[in-house]
Amino acid sequence: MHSFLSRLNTLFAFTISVLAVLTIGVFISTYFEKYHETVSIGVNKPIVKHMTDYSANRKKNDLGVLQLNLDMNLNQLFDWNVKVLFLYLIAEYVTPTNSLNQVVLWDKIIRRGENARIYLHDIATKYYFWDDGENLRSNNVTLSLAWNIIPNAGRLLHVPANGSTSFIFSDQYTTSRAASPKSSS
Amino acid sequence: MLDIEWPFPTHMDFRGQKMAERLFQVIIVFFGLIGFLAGYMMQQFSMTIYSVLFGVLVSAVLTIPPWPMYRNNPVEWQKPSNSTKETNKNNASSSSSSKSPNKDVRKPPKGKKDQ
Repeated sequence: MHSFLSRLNTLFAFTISVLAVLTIGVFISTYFEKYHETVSIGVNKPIVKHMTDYSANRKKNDLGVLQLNLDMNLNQLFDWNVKVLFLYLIAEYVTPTNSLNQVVLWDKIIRRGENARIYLHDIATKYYFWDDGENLRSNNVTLSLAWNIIPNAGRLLHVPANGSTSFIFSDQYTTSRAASPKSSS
Repeated sequence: MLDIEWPFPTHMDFRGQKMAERLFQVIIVFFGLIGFLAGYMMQQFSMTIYSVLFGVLVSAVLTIPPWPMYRNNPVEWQKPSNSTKETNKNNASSSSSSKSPNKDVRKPPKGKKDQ
C-alpha cells in the first residue's frame, strides 16, 4: 500500500474477491430453481423410407421422415443465472435389440436476450432420423424436448420439458423420391 | 516488483495506507451489495458486475493517487547519530536503541502496519 503499484495490486485483488463472492451469491440464489416449462410438440406426416446410410455402415437402413410443429414460450426460464439455453428434441423408441433408442432430431441454442418464444410450423427435422437397422416401420416413437441450462455460475442443468407426443410410423415403406425433401446424397 | 521512477512522490504514510485500504474496501463492498440487489431485481447479472466495476473506478480515483489526506501523518525519523559508521547505518538501529532506548520515537505509534 505504500506505492502506486502495490495499491493497484491490492485494489485489484480485493475486486476479484468481491466478484467471486457475488458470483457465489448468484449461484445460491438460483440453486433451488427448477426451470420447468410446458411445451407443445406436434408431428406431421411421418413416413419411413428404406435407404442406404452412406454416413454409417452403407447398409440399407430405415430412415424416418417427419415434420415438426413446436410451440413454446421459454422466456420465463431466463433468470439472472441463465446464460444460454440449449434445446434438443429426442425421439425415443424400442427395438427388439435395444430397449431404449434415442435420436436427436432437432436442437436450438437460445442466448440470453434472444427471443425465446418459439413457434415453428411444419419444419423438417434438423438431423436425420436413421435407425441402425430396419425397425422403424409400425414402431411407436415418443418425441420429447429437453434443455440444458448453461448458467453464469453453478452446475449445468439438464431439464426434461413437460409435454411429449407419440406417434406410430406406417407399416409401409415410402419409395417415391418426390416425397423426400431431404434425401441423403 | 517493478521500480518505476514516477516524476512525483507516490508515498503514503502508514495511517494513510490504513485509511485508503479501509476506504476502498467499504466502497467496493457497498457497490457490490447495491449491484447484487439491483441485479436480482432486474434479473440481470451484468448489472451487478457493472456496479462493482463502477465502485472500483470510484475507489481507484480516491485511493490510488497519494492525495494529501493520506500524507498528514509523516513518519518522524530519528536524528542521524554521528557516532555510528556510515556503512552499517541501517543495522545500527538495534544497537543504537540499546544505547538510547528513550529516543526511539518511530516504533510505538505505528505498530505492525508497515509494508
